Amino acid sequence: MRFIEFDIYSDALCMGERTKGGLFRPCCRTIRYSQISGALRKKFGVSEIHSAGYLVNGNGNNKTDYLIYSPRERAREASKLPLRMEFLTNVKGKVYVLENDSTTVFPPQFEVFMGAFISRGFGLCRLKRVKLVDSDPPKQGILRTRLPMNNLETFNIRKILKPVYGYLFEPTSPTSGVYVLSLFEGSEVIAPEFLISPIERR
Amino acid sequence: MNQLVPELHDVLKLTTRQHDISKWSEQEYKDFKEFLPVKTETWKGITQHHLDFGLYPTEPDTFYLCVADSLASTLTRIGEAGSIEYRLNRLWRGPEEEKDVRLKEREDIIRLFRFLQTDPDWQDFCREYEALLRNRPEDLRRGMNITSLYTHCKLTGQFHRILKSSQAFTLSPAEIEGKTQEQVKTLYRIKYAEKWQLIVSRCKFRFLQKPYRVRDLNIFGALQDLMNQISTFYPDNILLQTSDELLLILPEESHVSNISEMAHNAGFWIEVVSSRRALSELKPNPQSMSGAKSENLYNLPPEIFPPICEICQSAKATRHWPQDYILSHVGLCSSCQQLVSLNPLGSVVESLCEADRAQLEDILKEPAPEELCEKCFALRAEGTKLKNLDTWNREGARKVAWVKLTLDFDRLQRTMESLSGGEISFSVIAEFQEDYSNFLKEFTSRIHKEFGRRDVENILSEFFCIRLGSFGEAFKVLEVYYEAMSRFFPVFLKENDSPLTIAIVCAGIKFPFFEVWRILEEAKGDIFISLQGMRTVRAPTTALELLTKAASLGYKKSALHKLTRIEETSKKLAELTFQNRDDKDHATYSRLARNLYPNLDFSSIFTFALLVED
Repeated sequence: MRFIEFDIYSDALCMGERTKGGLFRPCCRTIRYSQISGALRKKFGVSEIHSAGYLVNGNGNNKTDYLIYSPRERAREASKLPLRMEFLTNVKGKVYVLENDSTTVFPPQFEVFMGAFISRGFGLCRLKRVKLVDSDPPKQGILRTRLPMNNLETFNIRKILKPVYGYLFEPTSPTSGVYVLSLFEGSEVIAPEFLISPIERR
Repeated sequence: MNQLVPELHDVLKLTTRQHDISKWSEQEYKDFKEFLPVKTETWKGITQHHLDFGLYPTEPDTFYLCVADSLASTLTRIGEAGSIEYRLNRLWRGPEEEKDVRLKEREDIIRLFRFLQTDPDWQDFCREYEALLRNRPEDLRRGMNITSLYTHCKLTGQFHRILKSSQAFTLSPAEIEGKTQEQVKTLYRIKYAEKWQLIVSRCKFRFLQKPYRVRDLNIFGALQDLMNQISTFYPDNILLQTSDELLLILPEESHVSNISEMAHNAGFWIEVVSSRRALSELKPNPQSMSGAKSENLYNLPPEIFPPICEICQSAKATRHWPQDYILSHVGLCSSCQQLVSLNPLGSVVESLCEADRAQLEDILKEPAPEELCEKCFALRAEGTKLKNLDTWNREGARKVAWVKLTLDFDRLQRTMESLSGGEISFSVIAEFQEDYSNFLKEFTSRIHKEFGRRDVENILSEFFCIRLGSFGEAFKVLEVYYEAMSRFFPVFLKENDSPLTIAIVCAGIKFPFFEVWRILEEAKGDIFISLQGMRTVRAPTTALELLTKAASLGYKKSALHKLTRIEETSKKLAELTFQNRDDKDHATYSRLARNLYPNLDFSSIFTFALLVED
């Protein structure tokens, strides 16, 4: 199977994780399946899109920054306690989209919105097609993204050697969803070379 | 009692007499005959625990002892042996002062035998002879004198009990009784090299929680409880223990499953590397044994219907914080109890009676309700055990340093093999554990002395939080580390591949703990200092002395400030300024460079300047 490689850029991105202690919302350091697939599905209006990615650090990319935000409860006309939001600036990363009938027609360059605070200027991402990559032959390495367990075959993950598990949200309808067991970054796997980094032994 | 005490098998090594009693001269035997503890089972162990002794193992118990003695020996794997040395020469400490501590005088030896006649157990014996056991190397030959007799004896006892208590090592009396020495040697070869197998297993315990509040740091208490539970259950099987990792010798696979179940029940997942091999093929690191199996063991459901626990994100949230806590742990009056149970807490605060409102004062200050799973709720409901940290929060402290010491077992093996010139044995690891535990005690007591007990929170034996006046005080921690290292592991200070590392995160007290933990877990470098997760100092252990000295010197603050400000704009420009001989602050910079460069890169030097300047 083949994947379309995109470079992804964004000025400010808030790929929020769950809020901690009602005060702090950390930012995810990878581009998880649920986030980018959801954004692309919304943009192109098709459900058969499977994609995942990761951030590429260096040259001052992906710098962490914080924003204090006070959510407002409109019904009660009251402000909630201020929330400290973590976000990334000067974001650069890679996104891999499974090649199929729905995705081959993607334009070479396009924009999608991803993550939180879109209404406040965050989350605008530019994707630029780079090339097609083959998922074979898979190699042993450390996974750089987050993938639901029920989608591992789609990404040609052949074997999980040392998993790091967590949960990703999977919508089941516009108003509900379920958290599904997922393989997180840091897992040792046999997977396509573009999804892994070499194993670092100290 | 009259049971064989395996630890005492080598007590004759405490004397200048032959270890093998069959080699004693007739006169020697005559001299001591009436004092020998011949009626005890332990005496059988003392005289019959070697295949080459005149009296060799002739019953299962002494055969097990013979096998345990081999497993706990330094002998097997170290390179060539040299001449006799009476001093200990631990690989990580270097040679001690040459001194023969063995009992030479007839009266002293008789006193030893008389004591053995009382059939003491290991603890009784240690009360009398521990110092001697600790100062006498197990093997006196140069190159082999790297472990103490104490460690060897203790380890032999552990192995003996493992072998004797497991069904995997059955040996009927008929298999050994009445056999010739050659037949027993053949039996030993069969059992040791083929039939009997043990599992060497490394288990690292990890948690899924992302603690944010001080109360949620109770996860470390739970980790400590888990480690205590395992060490109580497997007192003889643990060879090396840190606060989150165990090296174990296990007779059956079911024990690995048992440990993993204990971990899962306590809310942890576990990284396991195990290898099962014949006794002759065992090595202390399963990673370096053939057939090693490495796996991460979790116990997680395939899906969770919302809400998900906000702390661990790996279980369904069934509890509301703080409402459920108030109802189950705080004694409210009946009408307030009813009010809180039927309405959202926020909406009834004003309606609570004055006494109950006062009781809930602290809880009501908490920012927002949270959805928690049963385990995370139970941990939080315990209340904080980290009293100092809690007090600093209340007192409005601003700066803290999170300090984590780490022992890298793979590096330990590599370093010790390179120092010994051969493969290391179990006894070397057991000897190291003794010193490592003492090193941690020393480090802790020095940290307490340096910063004061009220300003130090001991979270785990290798993990501390220290209240700082300024971030520059982080270097005091390094000084303490250097002093403790110099005392217990001076050889590692000269090693490029030091197995011990230190990571310090300097941060504001409100900086989210799970971020601190992530930085500590991902820290790279022997010495790692992170400033709020944004900037780092990285240095090798070999630079520790210079680094602490450099930090103790006075620098012109304005010069350091200038440098860090320039670096904010351009790293390259800061490098040029740093090296520019014509710069008016060159004297300060050259002083820094002399002490730090090239052990630290420019980025680390600039962070160093920022820390020192604080």
